Amino acid sequence: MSDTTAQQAEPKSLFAEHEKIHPLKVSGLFRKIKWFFLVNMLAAYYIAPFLRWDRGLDAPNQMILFDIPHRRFYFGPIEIWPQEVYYFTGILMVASLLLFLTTAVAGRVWCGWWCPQTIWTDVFITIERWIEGDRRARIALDKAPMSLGKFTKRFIKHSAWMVISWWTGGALVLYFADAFELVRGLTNDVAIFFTKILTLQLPSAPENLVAWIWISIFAGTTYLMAGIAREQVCIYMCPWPRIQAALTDTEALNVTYRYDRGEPRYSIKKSVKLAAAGQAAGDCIDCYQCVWVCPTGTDIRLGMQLSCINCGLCIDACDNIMAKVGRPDKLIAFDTDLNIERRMKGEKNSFKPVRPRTLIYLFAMLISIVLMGWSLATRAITGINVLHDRNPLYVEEGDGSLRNGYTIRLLNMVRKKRSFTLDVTGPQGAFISKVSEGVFLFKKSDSGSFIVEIGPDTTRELRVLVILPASSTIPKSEPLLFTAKDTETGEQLSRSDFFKGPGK
Amino acid sequence: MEHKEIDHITGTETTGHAWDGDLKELNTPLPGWWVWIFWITIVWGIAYSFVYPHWVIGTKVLPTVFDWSSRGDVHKALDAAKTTMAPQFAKLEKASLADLRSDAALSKFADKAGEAVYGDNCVACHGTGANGVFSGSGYPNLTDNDWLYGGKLEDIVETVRVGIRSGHEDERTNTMAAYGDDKTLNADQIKNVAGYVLSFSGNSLAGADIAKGKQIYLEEAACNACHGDDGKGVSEIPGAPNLADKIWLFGGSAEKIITSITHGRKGVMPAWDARLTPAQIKAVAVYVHSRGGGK
Repeated sequence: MSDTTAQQAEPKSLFAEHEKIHPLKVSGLFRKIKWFFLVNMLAAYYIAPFLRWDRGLDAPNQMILFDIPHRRFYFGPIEIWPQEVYYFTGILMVASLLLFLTTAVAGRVWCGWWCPQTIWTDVFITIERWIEGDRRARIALDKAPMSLGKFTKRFIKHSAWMVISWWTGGALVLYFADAFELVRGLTNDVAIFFTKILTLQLPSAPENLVAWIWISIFAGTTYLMAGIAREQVCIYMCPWPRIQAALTDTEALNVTYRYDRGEPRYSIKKSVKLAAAGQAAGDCIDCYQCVWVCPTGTDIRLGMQLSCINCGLCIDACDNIMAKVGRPDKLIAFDTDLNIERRMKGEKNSFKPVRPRTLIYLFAMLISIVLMGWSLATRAITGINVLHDRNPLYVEEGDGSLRNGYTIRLLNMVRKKRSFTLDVTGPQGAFISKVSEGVFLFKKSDSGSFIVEIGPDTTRELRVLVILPASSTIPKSEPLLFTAKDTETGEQLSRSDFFKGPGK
Repeated sequence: MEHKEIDHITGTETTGHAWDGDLKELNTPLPGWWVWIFWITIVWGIAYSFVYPHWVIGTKVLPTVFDWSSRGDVHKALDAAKTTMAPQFAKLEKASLADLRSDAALSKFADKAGEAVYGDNCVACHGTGANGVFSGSGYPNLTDNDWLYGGKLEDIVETVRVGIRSGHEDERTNTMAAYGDDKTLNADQIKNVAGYVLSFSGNSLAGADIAKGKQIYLEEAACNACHGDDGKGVSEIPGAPNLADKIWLFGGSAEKIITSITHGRKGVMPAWDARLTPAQIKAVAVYVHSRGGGK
């Protein structure tokens, strides 16, 4: 392009004004699928924090609980300590691979059916439809000047949205504290607030202030994302539409307009006339139903695109129209561009869900699950950590023997009191001379090993002294191994360290 | 230089610089919201400097709006910590030393509290590791098993309470005479006795007559009265070091030993009963005892 053409070009803005999307109501198979997931997933989200799980008296009985103050995470029978948060990484890995797999098989069904953004947007749109009417009524209402009726509708709609947003955040905080207690606490806060207001007093800060703050944050984001931003989150904010291009291929099913059948598109009358004259006329009657029902305003007839969340509502819309005009259904369907090309060449349809890509995803996922399960099933329910004294590294006793001090922390992740014997192997002759907490000394068993008791679900820090009697060889640094052994089960844990000396 | 060139597509002024012939940089103004935040932060900063202590006039700091200071915060935190720990300190105050030996939780608390007391009061002389500032410095190593005034918990509590040559009425004290300064022994005699002392731990001193040294040790100077015939000390006389082991408070070289005999030694440790509460003294004794040398 030369300078002159660039300068003569019409000045135009690079900014595209947002056009409000007013999705039309639709019924059909995919709408049913979406309702199914919406109802079940929301039910799970709201009910889960209230489910109980008996862990004994000294532990919370909530099935799923992120106990941040006590650094414990509970999932039914599984209890995760902070040093084990890599299990979360594992869960995320399996989830990602499952996402890759579904995308490679059937496109972005996650976006269309399961994504929280989609589910909450669906709820918000449904409420909007109840209050303001369907697509036409909403467009008309948008254009209408402000009136009492319009204001009332808008007010009711936004209030309903806010209530749902509040409950969204309200349910999320229940995963971080005892659900029943928190609900009681929040109810109490509300009661106090209104009592103060009604008695003309200044309301004080609520008791569950932190919970209120988090609820406000989540309520705010829900209202903003599902109420105001909606499809813009999918199109402009979400990285997934960008990533999916790398995860899908020509064999992946996607919501596809079968242009081999639909084109060229004409109105019904014209297409009938042209067909009678023996000219080409496609099945698409250009009724725009597929665009109007789309929650992101996508015209699927332009082909697969970033804004399509693969929910299938356009398939329902098109099938309904095709039934009315007496043409075969599935003009829009889960299909591949490859199949369209095949049909145009007169070849047969084919769908290969089993191919190297899906197999790799499947195996990677299975391997992750097996590794996670295996490490969880065999994870240490006991731990031993050893910290050598920094200063002094060693102590020379009056009789020429050497002494090293260690801080040993034993972990007992089991909900019962256990006892361990503590032994050391290291330089010839080295032995544990004392195990203590301050001046409280632990005693030796008959076999000569020190015995340490640890309460349920806790850790115990011990001071351990190891003595190497005077001998001809004075170590500079010798390896040393501490071994703790459960006196009941025989479970054994070791941790290596060093025995330090002046060397000679 | 007044230059104005408007870019057609964006409608924004360019900087006027051109690269590669026709590549021009837009002089896009800062967004309004950014400029607003910039001004607000300046206003905020000025207000902030008055709200929180900042302005010094002479030697006075302007009073603060919310009566806040970081020092005040520290005091509040310390008071809160004191309140939290008060029940445990009260328990420690009442506890006998036998209680400490049998109550693991209380002993643990005493150990940790003692670590804090030690860090605030004892580190300067005994070192962060409780092993003396350096070997032979005269500041005793508290981690080894050699104790001049006893290594039992009871002994340590008492030593911390009354100190050594501290002037406290119950002070722990004894005297290592200055044999050279007092002219009790001459230089040769001191050398001989030093050679004899070194022989207890299997060492020797060139030019020292051990037989003469032994005679001085047992008779003329009567070192054995405090240090024992075999140099291992006399249990009835606390404070007299064992000369036969490998631990030397003031250094174990011949030179250091001769210095000790010539000038005497009078190490001092202050009494802590006026500065520490009985609970703190118990706590620091537990900490020192559990370093490893405690008996």
